[in-house]
Amino acid sequence: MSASVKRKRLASGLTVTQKVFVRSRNGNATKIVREHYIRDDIPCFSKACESCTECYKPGPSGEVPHPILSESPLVLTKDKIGKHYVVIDTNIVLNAIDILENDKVFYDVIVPQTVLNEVRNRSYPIYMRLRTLTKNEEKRFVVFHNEFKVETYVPRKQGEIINDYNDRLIRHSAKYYHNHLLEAGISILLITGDKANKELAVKDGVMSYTIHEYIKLLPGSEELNDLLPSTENFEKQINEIKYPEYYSSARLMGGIKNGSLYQGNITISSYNFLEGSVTTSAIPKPLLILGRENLNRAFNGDNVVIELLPKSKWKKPSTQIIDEETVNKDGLGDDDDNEVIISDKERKLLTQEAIKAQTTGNEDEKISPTGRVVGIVKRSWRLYVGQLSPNAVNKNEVVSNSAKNCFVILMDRSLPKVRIRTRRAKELMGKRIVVAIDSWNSNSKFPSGHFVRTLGEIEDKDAEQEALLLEHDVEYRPFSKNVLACLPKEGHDWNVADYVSNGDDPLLEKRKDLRDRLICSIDPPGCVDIDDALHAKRLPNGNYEVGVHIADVTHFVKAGTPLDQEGASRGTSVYLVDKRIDMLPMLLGTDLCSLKPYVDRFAFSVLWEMDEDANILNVSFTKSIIKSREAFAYEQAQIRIDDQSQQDELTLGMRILLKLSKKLKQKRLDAGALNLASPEVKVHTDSETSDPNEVEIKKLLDTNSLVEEFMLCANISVARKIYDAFPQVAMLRRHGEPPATNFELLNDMLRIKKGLSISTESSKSLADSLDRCVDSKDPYFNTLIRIMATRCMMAAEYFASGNFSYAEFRHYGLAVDIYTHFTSPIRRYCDVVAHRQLAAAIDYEPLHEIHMDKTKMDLVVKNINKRHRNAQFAGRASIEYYVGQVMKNNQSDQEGYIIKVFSNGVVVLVPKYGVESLIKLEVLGDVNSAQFDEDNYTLEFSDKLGKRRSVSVFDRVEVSIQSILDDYTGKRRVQLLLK
Amino acid sequence: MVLSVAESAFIYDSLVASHPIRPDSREPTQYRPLKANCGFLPNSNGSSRIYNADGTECISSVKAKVIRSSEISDLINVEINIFGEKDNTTLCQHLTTLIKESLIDSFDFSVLKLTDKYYFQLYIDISILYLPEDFRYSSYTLYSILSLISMGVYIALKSAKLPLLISDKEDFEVEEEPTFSDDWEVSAFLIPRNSERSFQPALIFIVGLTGNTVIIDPSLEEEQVLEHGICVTWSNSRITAPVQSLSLSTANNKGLKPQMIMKAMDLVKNVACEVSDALNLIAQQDVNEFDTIF
Repeated sequence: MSASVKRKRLASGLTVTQKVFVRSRNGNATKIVREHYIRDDIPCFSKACESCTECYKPGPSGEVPHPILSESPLVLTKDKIGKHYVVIDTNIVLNAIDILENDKVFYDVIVPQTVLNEVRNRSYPIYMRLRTLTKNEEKRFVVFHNEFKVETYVPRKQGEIINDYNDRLIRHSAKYYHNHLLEAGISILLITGDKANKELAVKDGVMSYTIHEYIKLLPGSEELNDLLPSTENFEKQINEIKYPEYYSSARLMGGIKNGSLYQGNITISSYNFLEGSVTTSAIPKPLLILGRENLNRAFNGDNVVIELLPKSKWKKPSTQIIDEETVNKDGLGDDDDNEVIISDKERKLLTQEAIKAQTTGNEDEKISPTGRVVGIVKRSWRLYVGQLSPNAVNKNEVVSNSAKNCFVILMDRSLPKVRIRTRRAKELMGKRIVVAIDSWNSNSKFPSGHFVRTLGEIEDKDAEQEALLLEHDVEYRPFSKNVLACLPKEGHDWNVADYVSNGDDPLLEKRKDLRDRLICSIDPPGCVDIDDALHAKRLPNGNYEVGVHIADVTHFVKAGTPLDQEGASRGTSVYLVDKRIDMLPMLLGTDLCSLKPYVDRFAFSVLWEMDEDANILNVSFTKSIIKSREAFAYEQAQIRIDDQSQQDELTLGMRILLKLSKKLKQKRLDAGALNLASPEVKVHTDSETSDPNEVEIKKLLDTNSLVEEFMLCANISVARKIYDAFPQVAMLRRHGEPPATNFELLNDMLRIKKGLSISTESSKSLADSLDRCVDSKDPYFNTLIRIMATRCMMAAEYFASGNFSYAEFRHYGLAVDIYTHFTSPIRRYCDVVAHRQLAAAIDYEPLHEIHMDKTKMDLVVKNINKRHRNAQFAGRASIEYYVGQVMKNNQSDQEGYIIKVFSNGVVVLVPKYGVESLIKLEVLGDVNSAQFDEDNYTLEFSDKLGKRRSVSVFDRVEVSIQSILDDYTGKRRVQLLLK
Repeated sequence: MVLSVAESAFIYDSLVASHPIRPDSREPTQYRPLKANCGFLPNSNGSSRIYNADGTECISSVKAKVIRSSEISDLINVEINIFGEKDNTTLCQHLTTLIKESLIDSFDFSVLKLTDKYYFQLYIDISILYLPEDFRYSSYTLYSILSLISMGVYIALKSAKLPLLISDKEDFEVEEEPTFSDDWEVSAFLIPRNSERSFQPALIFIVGLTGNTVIIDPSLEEEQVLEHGICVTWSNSRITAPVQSLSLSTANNKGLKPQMIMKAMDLVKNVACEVSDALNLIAQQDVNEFDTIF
């Protein structure tokens, strides 16, 4: 670039210049030249300025920006400053973001675009915090696009270092503001940490201060001084540990490419926070990462790069339970070995050894290759919920206002403590707080973060609920204005009759009127979002017409609208014990879409003609208008069917449905569908105070499976249809066949302890072998095995059909070749997509391009898979919390089963409450007397009375169960004691 | 434009005279006017544009790519595109080979070495935009543009810059993926500017011979009466391969005397330094990438 004029005028107020940079990607370097447009209509965002009024033009979304900086900003009497705005330099943001966020200082701040870009390149988390600040209008931070504004753009001088150039751009912006607002009587202060920059600014006639000088100018500066970054960085004082440095990105990319390093997501064991595993494509089984040094600051869920350790360090997987408490006491898990440089060639040889070690079934050398983390590609950092470590505050200490380092213990046990700096430690004690993580330097044993906000007292119902929503990344804020704007403006008064008589919808004539069919819905008691309804009637030819009618959500939720985007990002409704987080606004979910009885509703119907044996002879799909005759709860429906005095058409239809559903179920089971189990419980809450008071295991009625069978049937029929119409992008759901290795451990336990085995050849043989797993003395044993087998299964997942071959579409659990979710569009986004695709497949309306584009579909699918999983976890955590509350007051003795045995403890499942918990050896009895027989899954020890006792897997044990509050995590958890 | 017998006899006589007089009154060592500039293509690492008074114009571009190879012959790729000619004609292929070979012989490949495993690979694309219509298929065309191309490539290479490597240079034992600074301002010249590491890519000179006279850069008129032509390659302050005899005209075929070859080389030695200095000056001009694209 040269210093000569390099601009060209394109139109009035718009000129173009050039930006040249190097793009380094995949080891290649390309020179890139981009046009850089400069305009004269970028406003200064000051309310005091009148000359910029014409510059506020609507953006692409139609929103008109408005001035933000106050016309009467803070007045400083010292140095004759008067009213002033502040322009900040990059180093201020990087070093003192906390004070910028403080609500006492820093209002009316101008952030030049140059600063924003520099911050983004240096630290992404700080960039995100700055972004949040600029969006918060109360703090009056504005981003000034100085590099696009003709008055503030300056070309780079030849040979100028990029940092100098950026400083010059920032000074230039400050100078521009200075001159621009001279008339308005507002002065501009440039706050910078760079001495040279400050001097140059003063030379240019711009007032410039360091942050310390600036704070001194403010009234009440004493108090604020505490918030300033100390001159010596506090990170440097910490020197507890030396983690290995990460490899350079060049090294990582090179290593991944030539196959000597591997990339994957790390999962930290929930039993042992010093044991992680990484699944990579190169090695068949997950690779173990053991110990603090080898985990090297990785967080659960981070995308990491690992390398194999030399063979001498390969280990057996830990049979111990380790949590942070124990480790910090005795410094376990730190290994200090000298680093040896090994070449890529040796690394590759090592990989072959590793694969060999994993695949040989030789029991004696059951050694697992281990690796270590050498780089982190993407952090999974988000906001975390936790509480201050109990020893953070010295009770005798006089209250002081100085900031100090405290540790926050996170709710997720697989994560390390977080170091934060706060002056409010005393106040925060005993509260659930939200923290964000900023960095983890190699010389710090723990990551550093900062306090965000408090949720409330520990064990407070609302605080705990919010905590678990945050922990599971569930969006629970109310729907935004522009989302709600997409709803019908009639609100609850919207009805089908008005809509039809209005008659301006050309699609209406494609809708079939099914109001003559005797339709009813059957749902859990108290259900308000009724997704589905059914009907059946006998046809003149002796066959049956069976219809499944699903709420027509896509009539209201059109693709591409903000409402649709919100639904897509939420992915699913989340059901907590006493709270439901909706995917779609209430108006739709519980009223307009919900197939309520006695009123006309729009529906999407699947109609079959079935014969006496429930064979499908014919299927058709149509959008329809229906009128449900009755909304039953499962139990009510069961009573009505069983009551032989009821002989009306509706009841007869329901009996047909029941009869057919039983045949459908039998056929499914014959095909090898699995009947798995999970210890599901239901919490009864007091209807007035919503305090939990009872726990019961969910009961299943015939009518439950009646609905279920027809929903499965509808999902399968729809899946075939949309796959037929859209072979590349059809939204489907699959359930992979579990690899036999998943069952190895369970099978081994069964063989040794019970002489039984599970066959995993096919879902049919698995189902049959599960049926054979019975213990005549213990009726619960079969269910226990089913629960354990369920945990060996793969998780079912959504996918776009183009990503797998037809054979892989198979749903293993249901034993069908193709499957999707169609029947709950109010609470699942997959169903919404399936509805749109089906509507397009039957020529009802064309498919929106976002569901046609495979890459966009992949993103949707990835998100809903994640949301779906999180929703399940959140639901379980909510039940767990309430079970804890129920048990708080009633300690009881229950029957439990041992499902895992470690060398220093056992895991017991209590079916009655659906809880499982670890009993540590020190609680069981004498630690030193214990003998662990790993091959027989047996732990032998002397109990507290000195009696010799042995427990092994599958044993039925009496446990006393109580709920205790863990001081350390602030979590109530179930404590079991062996009787 | 074909000369009449009288015209060619006149030109021939004035050329073989003891004080040769060229039809355009040039000195034997004098070139026809040329115009050149560099940095013409903003997306290339280096580029040049050079044209003759008769309108023959040549654009050269140098682009660099990172490859994992140490095969020297892979590192320089030349492609020549001539207006109105197919890629596979003898003319194109001949020129391509000649330019490529002369560059390979004169190139200091250490400047292309990035790490133990990675090299920069150069793609030199040359485009001849215009040829005088009448002489598209004459031998004159070939040799006139050969000299032009060689000068164009010279400037393009001299002005070319390479991105700055910021990852480790030693990757023989442990693989590193090359990573570069994203600041184009810190890029370095492909051919270092300091005298110790600098070198000159090959320049090809066309010398016309007739009688005892040697002339540089024969014009269209002269070419029709010349007895012989020699192409002489010059790089790094000396004559290098290839030195080739060329049949510039078919009018006066006579034997080629060895001392004439020596004389031609002396002529090149005389002018070469001046030519390369002039070209260096052009290459060192401020590259004003912006003006040139609009």
